[in-house]
Amino acid sequence: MMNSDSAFFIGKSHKICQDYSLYKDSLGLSYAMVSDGCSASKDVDFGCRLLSKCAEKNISLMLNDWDSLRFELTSVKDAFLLSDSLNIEQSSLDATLLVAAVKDDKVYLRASGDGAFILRKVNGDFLVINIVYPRGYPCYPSYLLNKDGFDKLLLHFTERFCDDYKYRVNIELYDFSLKDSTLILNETREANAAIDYKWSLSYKDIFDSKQYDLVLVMSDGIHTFFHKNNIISFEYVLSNLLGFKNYRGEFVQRRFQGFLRVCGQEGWDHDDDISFAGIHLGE
Amino acid sequence: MPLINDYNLQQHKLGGGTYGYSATKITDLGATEYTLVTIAQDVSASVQDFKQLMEKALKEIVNACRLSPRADNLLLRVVLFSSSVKEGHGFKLLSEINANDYDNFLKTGGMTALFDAAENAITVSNDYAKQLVANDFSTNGIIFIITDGENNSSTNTTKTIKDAIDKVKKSEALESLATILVGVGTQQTPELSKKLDQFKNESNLDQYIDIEKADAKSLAKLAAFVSKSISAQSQALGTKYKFVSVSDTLTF
Repeated sequence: MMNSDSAFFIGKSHKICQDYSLYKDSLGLSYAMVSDGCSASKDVDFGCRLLSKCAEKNISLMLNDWDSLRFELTSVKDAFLLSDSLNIEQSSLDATLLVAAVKDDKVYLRASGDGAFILRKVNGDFLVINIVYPRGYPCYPSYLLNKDGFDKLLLHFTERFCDDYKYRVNIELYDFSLKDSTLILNETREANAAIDYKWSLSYKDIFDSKQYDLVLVMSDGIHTFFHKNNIISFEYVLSNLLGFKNYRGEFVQRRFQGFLRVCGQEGWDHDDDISFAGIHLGE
Repeated sequence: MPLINDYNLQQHKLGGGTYGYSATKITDLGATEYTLVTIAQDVSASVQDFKQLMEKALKEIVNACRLSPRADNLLLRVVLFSSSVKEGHGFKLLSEINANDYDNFLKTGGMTALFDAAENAITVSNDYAKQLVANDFSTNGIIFIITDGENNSSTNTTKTIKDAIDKVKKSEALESLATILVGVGTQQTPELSKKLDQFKNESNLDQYIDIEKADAKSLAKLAAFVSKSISAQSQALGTKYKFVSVSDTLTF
């Protein structure tokens, strides 16, 4: 029996939370997704919600047309129609979209923009997929909304930005063990996922669900924990975050709540908003 | 006694080993936060005259709490005390309680172990809260101690009750704990209200509610007050504040 849950929390530097997350378990399909609005754009708190809800509506497109960008394109177009009807600027949709779905013995991971996926193997080890834009300019599905059409957009980006370091994405894969609340790095390797369109899709891959019992997806806010002006390493954050106690009901919210309690005791804080969602695949 | 405690509760022992309690298995809980509600009900011999009204009040409290937006975040424990303290039922989700099980629930007789009941309610709430917090849940608590007489059969004292409250504060497992003492039918016994209020002050309980008559109207008002207080305390979860009425002492 799969169980999913999600949570999102405002960061210290934000007045409005610009992250959103959602999840659903239905017969044979579970999904969890997060969306992180670009803080430089207006009304992205609306945008990330609209984009997520439209992505949810179009989730079958993602599963059935895996190799194309129809999922991102349809979702962002639907979101645009909604935002336009509310007289909200198109730039409100400048938001990342990271989706994890489990169906028919497969785990589907797909990301536009930065953030991380974490898969726990049945032996208890973790695979961490960290999607990083070193210069801080992640791609968004909203880039597909260019009025000149998607093909022109591709050409536009190909000509102007394809070789630009600004839009380079790094996919970092780590294999970790968690022992006594300490993460032990087993292996670091290159992502083997084929990325065809760097500027609208950052990462996609499919895993065998029989090899994993927990799938997590989180926005890049997870990298912004600090203590007395010192950034706390991603690995150290994970070593404190991943100690799930049980998987019933609101298990993601509970774990993050417990983690934030520890943060309070340790004097940690997080600058950016954080969205966090997960699917427990069952015993 | 109805089979009200036959639900699949887990048995817990307290450190001192003097008494234990039962509670819903933590792995059966799905929400992020819970308010631990305890009703410690006097079942000494003198309660016989209004025991059916009191059972009705318990049913009304449960039914009213079911309508609360916080219904899924409440765990209710009922403690019965006369010459000794017994657990009517351990911490149960409202969805697992059949209000009709409170029919013929109160078996009266014996003396009034008021202090033991108060200490039990506080200590058990704190112990279960610690376990919940260790499993990432947030908790707060509210305790109602309902009596028609003063203490005359306890090993605990007002000091040990005060110490138990201090332990709650130090452990920080419960974000807050509201403790409310209710005197029922106090006009029957001279000086009872005054003595219960004194007990409240010496034990550092939060509030004393004085109900002069143990009649249907007054106990219906009590049920409404208790259910509203539970809901208010539960809504305060996450704020560090606790439910308090407008005055330390209320009469109705």
